[in-house]
Amino acid sequence: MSEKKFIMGNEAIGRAARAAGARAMFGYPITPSSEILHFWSGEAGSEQGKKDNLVFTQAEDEAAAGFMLIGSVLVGTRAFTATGGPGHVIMQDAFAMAEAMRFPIVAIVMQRGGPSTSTVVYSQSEVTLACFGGNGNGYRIVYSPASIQELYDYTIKVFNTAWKYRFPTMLLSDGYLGKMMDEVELYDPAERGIVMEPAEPYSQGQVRTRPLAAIVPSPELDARVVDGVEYACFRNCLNFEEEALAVNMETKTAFDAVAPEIIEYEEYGDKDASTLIIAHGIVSASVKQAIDNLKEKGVFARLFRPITLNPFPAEQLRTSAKNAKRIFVAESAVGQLGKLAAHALCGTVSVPIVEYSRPSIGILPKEIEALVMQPA
Amino acid sequence: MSKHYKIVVCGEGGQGVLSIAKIIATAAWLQGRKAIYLPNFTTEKRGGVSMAFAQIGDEPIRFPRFEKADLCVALSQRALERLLPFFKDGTVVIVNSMLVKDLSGIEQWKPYRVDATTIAKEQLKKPRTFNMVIMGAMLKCIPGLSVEGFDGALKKQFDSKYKKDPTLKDLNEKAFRIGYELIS
Repeated sequence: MSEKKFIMGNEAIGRAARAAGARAMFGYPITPSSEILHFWSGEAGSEQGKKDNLVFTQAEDEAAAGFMLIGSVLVGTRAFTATGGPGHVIMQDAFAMAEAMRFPIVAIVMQRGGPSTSTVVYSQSEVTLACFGGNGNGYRIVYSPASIQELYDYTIKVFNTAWKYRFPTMLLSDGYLGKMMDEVELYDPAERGIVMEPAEPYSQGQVRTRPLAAIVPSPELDARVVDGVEYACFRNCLNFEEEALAVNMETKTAFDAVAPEIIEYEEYGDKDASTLIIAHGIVSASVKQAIDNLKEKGVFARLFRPITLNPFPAEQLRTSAKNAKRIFVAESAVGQLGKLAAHALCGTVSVPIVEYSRPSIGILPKEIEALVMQPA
Repeated sequence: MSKHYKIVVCGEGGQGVLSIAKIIATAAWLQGRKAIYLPNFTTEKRGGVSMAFAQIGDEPIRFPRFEKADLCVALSQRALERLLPFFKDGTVVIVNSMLVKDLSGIEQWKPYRVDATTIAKEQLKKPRTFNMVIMGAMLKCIPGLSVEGFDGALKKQFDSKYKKDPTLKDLNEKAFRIGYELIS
């Protein structure tokens, strides 16, 4: 049964992970993500949590939490972590390993000010780190929700994306959404016809409903059957440059092949408006408000919002931008969404792309209105 | 333009800034209104300035921050300074008069001086009712919320605490009403 509640975004994430059938969480607390850990530890310690065999481990640091998460996924557990800011930096080592072997880890990342400790609540400055933070040639899927309801919806979704496509998957949000309280409709995914992808184990000696090769994408897997037992050989260490090239290209081809299915975006506002604003996450909510306010004054603008930052809806943005006379990118960071948008639009638009960069501070609807009202 | 009632509470970390805004927003939502709440704070638990935003309305609220407030509540002197950019014509201002002494810059807003500290300590003999006195004063200023509805919301929110200590319910309601009556 679905029910409406007035709760904090981080609690909505925890409840969604529970509704998605997640069994384990490994993490190290950091503002603005800590309430996700608090929620999960409470669940794991509850009567029902014990019945459901929930696992919660607060690791000694984020590196350990990331590798615990990988271990848990290896034995077929739908598991996740939550972090942000400097913790997000520390966890990249584990994320890169998950990229190398295509482990379906799920990470909830709540952005805060940076660099380093900085402010504890809000920014959009971990976009580049979330999308491309490994040591290269790896692929991951990154969603950017824009409301507490979407925190709930997309937390359920990231588990399915991760286990279906076997790429590390992240929900990239921020402390505004995480620490905000708003109305959210909680539901059981089954009620909405959402079928959870089975979390089947990679490692040997585990019960699987499908052969290993069907579960785990090649080429990272070398599955061998010896004396009737199926052994999995995972490698994040390769011998030759030629081998690395082959593996890297095979992973790239696999990512490119599924990207069109994964890509999500949203458009808002008057379709014929000549002013286009590109924004993601909570800033896109501010842009929507600005668009509504401007409409009352007879001024029209529209929003293009990438919901997946990686893979990026490049083709869709190009279509959207084709007839735009003015293009703005608004973000609470400098040149992160800006670079993604510029890369997507490179050579396809003749008007300048104007970046409105406000690192680590919220962008009010009024600021967007002022941008649009500027003489062209 | 958005017609939501906008509230900012600001004070020292540990004074209950976040709780006040959170309870007001939750109480509004429990009364069938749309509400949104956002805290803003620094790395310190005590010794830093905390700020919290709440908006109450009848339509869904898209963005948790805003430029100008309908109601500003300052719990300390330096909190008041942080609130000044939120002032506009008609902003209602409530100050915790024990800690906010200098009102010279904001006289035109005719701030309500609420000595919640003294009321909580001397009249109610429970310093922790400070927040309830402040919330009572705030509620008088926020349109569309009733005292009865607020009592109900508090009962729902503090259900487990009230069960443990039934005197707390009466005390909270009393503190709340004192604050409410202070605003004319």
